[in-house]
Amino acid sequence: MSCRKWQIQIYRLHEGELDRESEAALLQHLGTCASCRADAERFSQIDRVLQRVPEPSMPPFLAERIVTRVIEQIREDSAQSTLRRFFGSFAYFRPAVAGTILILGIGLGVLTGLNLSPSINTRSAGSSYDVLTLAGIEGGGSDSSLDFIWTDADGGGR
Amino acid sequence: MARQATMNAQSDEDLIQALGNGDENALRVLVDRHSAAIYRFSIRFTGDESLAQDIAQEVFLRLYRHARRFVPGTLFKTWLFTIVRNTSIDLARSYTYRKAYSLDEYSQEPERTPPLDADPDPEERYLSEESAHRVAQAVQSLPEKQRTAVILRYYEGLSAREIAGIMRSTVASVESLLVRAKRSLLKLLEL
Ligand SMILES: [Zn+2]
Repeated sequence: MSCRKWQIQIYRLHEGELDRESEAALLQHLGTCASCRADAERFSQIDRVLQRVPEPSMPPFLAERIVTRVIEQIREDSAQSTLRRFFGSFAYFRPAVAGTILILGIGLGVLTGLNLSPSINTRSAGSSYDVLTLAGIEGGGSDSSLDFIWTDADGGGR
Repeated sequence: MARQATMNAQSDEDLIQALGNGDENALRVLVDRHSAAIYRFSIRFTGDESLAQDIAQEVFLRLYRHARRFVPGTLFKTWLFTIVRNTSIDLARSYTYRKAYSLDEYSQEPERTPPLDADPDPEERYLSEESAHRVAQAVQSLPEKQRTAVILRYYEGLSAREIAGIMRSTVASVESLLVRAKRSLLKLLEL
């Protein structure tokens, strides 16, 4: 076994995971190899140094921030799944619902069209009537109602 | 309150299933139990407080989203730290302010920590707060796999077998990672 391979055994020895036979073999090697002995010491040293780093403490607000954010997500998902369930219950009727909406739409369109036609006619008739009113011929309709124009222009009656 | 007290007695496995069903009390108990360890891992992993807070929050969001995928009988701690590790990697990568840490840089030769003043006992040099900070920095500068293994083994007290489960690796690979990490740290800290 090369000295590099012994390093895994040194690690296992420090972890207390070496069986008795392997431990005896390692200790025998450490007795004869200064390099591995130095490694064993340095590995213990790094273990101690790592353990001396103080434990980082969590900011006091963080737990509440996490809870708030996740609850927000839970409620959002819950609202969405309620909506999905509601609309999902119409799934089987979807073609029927679409058909009904289409027929209603067409029906409404036809009715609106019928309603609009007379109102357009009335408005056009009214507007022409209004022109006549402005011309001062209200109540007229026959050619005779325009007689006054000629009468005034000629300065006398017919 | 009484409901939360009952929840406190429940196992993590039961709580995670309740969380999957949107149970807010289960969430509170899980946050009480695990947020500190998650934060500890992420701050040691990234060295950035703000990023570590975001990681801790994202971990709980992922726990909630993946809760229904938790297989009963699976070790909760292994499952939890798998999510913690993946979230730390994802968020550290996506963060634009990659300060002292960079996952890409980790694959290269780690940055050397400047040696401290000469002292007859090199171990003693690391007792001060500043020295502790340097040790933490040295850990953060390890390649991702070594860093994860060191944090989980020496700070969270997980066994090599548990770490292998989290990293989807073998016990022998984890042991090898830890030995390489120790050698790197010895070099970085000039011990
Ligand atoms: Zn040797």
